[in-house]
Amino acid sequence: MSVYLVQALSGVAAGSVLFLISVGLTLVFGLSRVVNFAHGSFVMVGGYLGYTLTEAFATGPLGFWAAIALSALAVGALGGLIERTLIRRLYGAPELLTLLATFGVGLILKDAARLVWGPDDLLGARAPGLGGSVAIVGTPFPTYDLVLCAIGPIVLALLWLLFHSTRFGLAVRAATEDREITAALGIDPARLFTGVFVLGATFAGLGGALQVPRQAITLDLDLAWIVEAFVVVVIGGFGSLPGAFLAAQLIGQVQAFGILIVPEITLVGVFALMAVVLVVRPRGLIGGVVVPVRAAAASPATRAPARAGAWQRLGTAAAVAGLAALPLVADPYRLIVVAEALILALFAAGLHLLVGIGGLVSFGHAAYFGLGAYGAALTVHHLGWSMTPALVAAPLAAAAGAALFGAVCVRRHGIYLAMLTLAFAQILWSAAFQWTALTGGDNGILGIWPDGWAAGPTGFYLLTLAVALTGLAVVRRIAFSPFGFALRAANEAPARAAALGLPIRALHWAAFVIAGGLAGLAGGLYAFAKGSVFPQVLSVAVSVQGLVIILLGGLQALSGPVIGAAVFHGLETEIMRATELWRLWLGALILILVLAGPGGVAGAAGALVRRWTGERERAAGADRS
Amino acid sequence: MTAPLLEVRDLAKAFGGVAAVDGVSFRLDAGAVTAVIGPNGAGKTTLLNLIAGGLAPDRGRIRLGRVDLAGRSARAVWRAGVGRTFQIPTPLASMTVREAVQLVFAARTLGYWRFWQPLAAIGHPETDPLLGRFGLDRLAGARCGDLPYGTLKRLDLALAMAARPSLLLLDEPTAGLGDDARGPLLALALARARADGTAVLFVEHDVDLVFGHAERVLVLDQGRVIAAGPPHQVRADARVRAAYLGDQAAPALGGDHDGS
Repeated sequence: MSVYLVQALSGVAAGSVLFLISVGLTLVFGLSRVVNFAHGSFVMVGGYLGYTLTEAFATGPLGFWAAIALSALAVGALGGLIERTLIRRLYGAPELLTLLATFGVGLILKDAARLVWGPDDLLGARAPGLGGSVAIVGTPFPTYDLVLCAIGPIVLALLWLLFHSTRFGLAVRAATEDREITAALGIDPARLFTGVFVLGATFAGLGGALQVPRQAITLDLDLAWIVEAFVVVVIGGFGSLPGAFLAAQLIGQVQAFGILIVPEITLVGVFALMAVVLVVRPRGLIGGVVVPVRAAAASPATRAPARAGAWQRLGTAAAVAGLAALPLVADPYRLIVVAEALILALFAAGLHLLVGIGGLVSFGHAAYFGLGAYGAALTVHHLGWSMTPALVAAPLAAAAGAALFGAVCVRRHGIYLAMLTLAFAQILWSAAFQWTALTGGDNGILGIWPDGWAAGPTGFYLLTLAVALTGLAVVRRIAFSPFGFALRAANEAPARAAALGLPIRALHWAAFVIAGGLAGLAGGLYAFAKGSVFPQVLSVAVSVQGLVIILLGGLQALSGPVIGAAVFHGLETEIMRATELWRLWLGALILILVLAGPGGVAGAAGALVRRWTGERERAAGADRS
Repeated sequence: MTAPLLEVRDLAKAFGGVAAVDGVSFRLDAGAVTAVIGPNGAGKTTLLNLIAGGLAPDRGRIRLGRVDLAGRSARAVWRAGVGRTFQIPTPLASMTVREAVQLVFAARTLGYWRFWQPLAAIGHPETDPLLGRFGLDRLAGARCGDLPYGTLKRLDLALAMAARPSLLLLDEPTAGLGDDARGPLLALALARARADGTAVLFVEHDVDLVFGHAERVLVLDQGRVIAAGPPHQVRADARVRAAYLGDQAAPALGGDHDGS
């Protein structure tokens, strides 16, 4: 009996910390509609600062708590700086851009932390005076966790007071309900946004610092916590303070008792809970704000897809010929690099159909890449299949997964859709981690080698080239087929499309399945290129990579995924060779891309040219007058 | 007496406790032209949206022939033979006018489930005649996103009528147009509808146009029908005058207007 009581209490402690970490995410979203992917980085920075400060000052309880508070405040200040310089520019931008930009901030903060604190895990000292345990009905329970149990409700009470009895809090609530109202209230919305952002960052920093005596501080804390915080925000309701508390406690209990009952699927359980809530109660447990679906005009892809003229055809033919002739001139290393870029292009081509043409922002496209990779690896490893049938199984497995998940995802739009796709990808990711009997867990599946004829660099390169070109050609056909136009119509003018009898959900579902199948094919090739598969192929980083590629290359044309993959993989390879800090550079690249606009490299160049010629014309006009 | 094409009975819809449409009943015969007028907030657009689908009424029936349309999806209503235009049309920005029309013809035959053949290569024999009928033939290659507003409204009308619906719903067809463009657009819509035998239900603010073109007029106020009948009868109705006087200038009704 007492075991359950202690388990429930540790659930409450975990829930308290989770609440601290999530509350900022939900408040910022409620007010500004920005989903801050960098929020987990505040937790990580809070953890590192907490480690350093407690090491320096924590000779007694007073010093310890002062160090924790100081860490939280410092993170709050960092949050304020980021809001003022960057987040401010993202208010009102499409969710694809805000998610990507804040992800970029997270990458930069991660490498900044690596520079300051180094790559090794840091283990902090226990809290002075709270290092022991107390007996709860005969079972020992850490005293520190008992303090955590109290901190969650105390913070909730303080925030409740803030939001219900101060002018600032009332203004935030009013603005969360109705964004137009702030102007009428005579409040400067910019201050309100900064204030809430700082508040949220402070509590995230507090949550991170409070972890110091409990767990090692690592560079991976950011992604681990942001994903859990997303789950809390979705389950509790976007923008809902009591909802975040309730959801955090619920997840704390699910994890605490999940470990007792079915230890293998605790992670899956949390994400499955989120998926169910999104489908059944999209507004969350305690009525969060309703997020309006953005008009098509706000989505990045409203410009016309490029049609191939004579020059483009000639260029394409030359590029294909050049790629086919590459083995004659390039060394094996370069062939491998280009093959990897082609795999990424294939992955991104499906995403181009889904995001660029269909306007469906998938934040979990790694799910289908990973299903393909694991589909190929598992058939080779467990069934003893050879490469060719395994490469057929890969897209089929991914398309089947996309058909299943897509059926749920297409029932939602905008940010809800993005979160659902993320949830499904995380379910698969955690399954790959925890179902070790099938997937080998963290150790992955090794020895996935191509058949003899494709085993050498040239053979495998030519195979990859043929598959990738076929995939790209298929996407191009689809983009200009009646289906492609119908998909575009549903994105550009949803009401018009429905009133013309287009079955929007079915079209979206089909796009999901096609994009999933292509990602699966890419994943299958990737498994054979690497000779192994690890759970990382299912991670958020892979999903984001796909989005960065299509954004980098431009959303308007199929050349986007190809150019994007080439530039991205080239940069990645070169930067990774040159420096440890590739995340910093990638993050900076993403920020430049987002702030420059969704036209990609080609679009940015075009805009520069227009600006330059425009200025010359203006100058010429000024001369004449 | 033959059965009407459209029969709306006791239709009601409230938003957050405010009744937008509150017990509306009326009939529309095949090929007939009826206008819906009323002061701002009278429930005109809500009524149109309830019939067009995608918005479920709180109570009431909408029958088109033998089909019950109440609470059905916009797609289902379209399949039953209803076309609609939008007050502010959203362009299919990335397509040319011809492609948009071709897509509509593809939609009619479930042709959007074709993944391989280019839309441009499939074509449809009615594409050019339709473009011609709506004066869009010279703009066939123009991108919808680049069209001027008036042309966009004409295209919206052409798309709504491409499938030769039995009922056409026009939501403020002349809103946003200059004075000299309003009459011609409504006249074009009604002429095409007459040629196809399509009944028309339209919401319109320009009362002169309504009395000039509609066969019957339905007057809504606060979600209820306060008058219905031929234009001259409605114009003389005391309740209609009172409703308009309470909201905007009386001359808008055109009773003492020299032009009407």
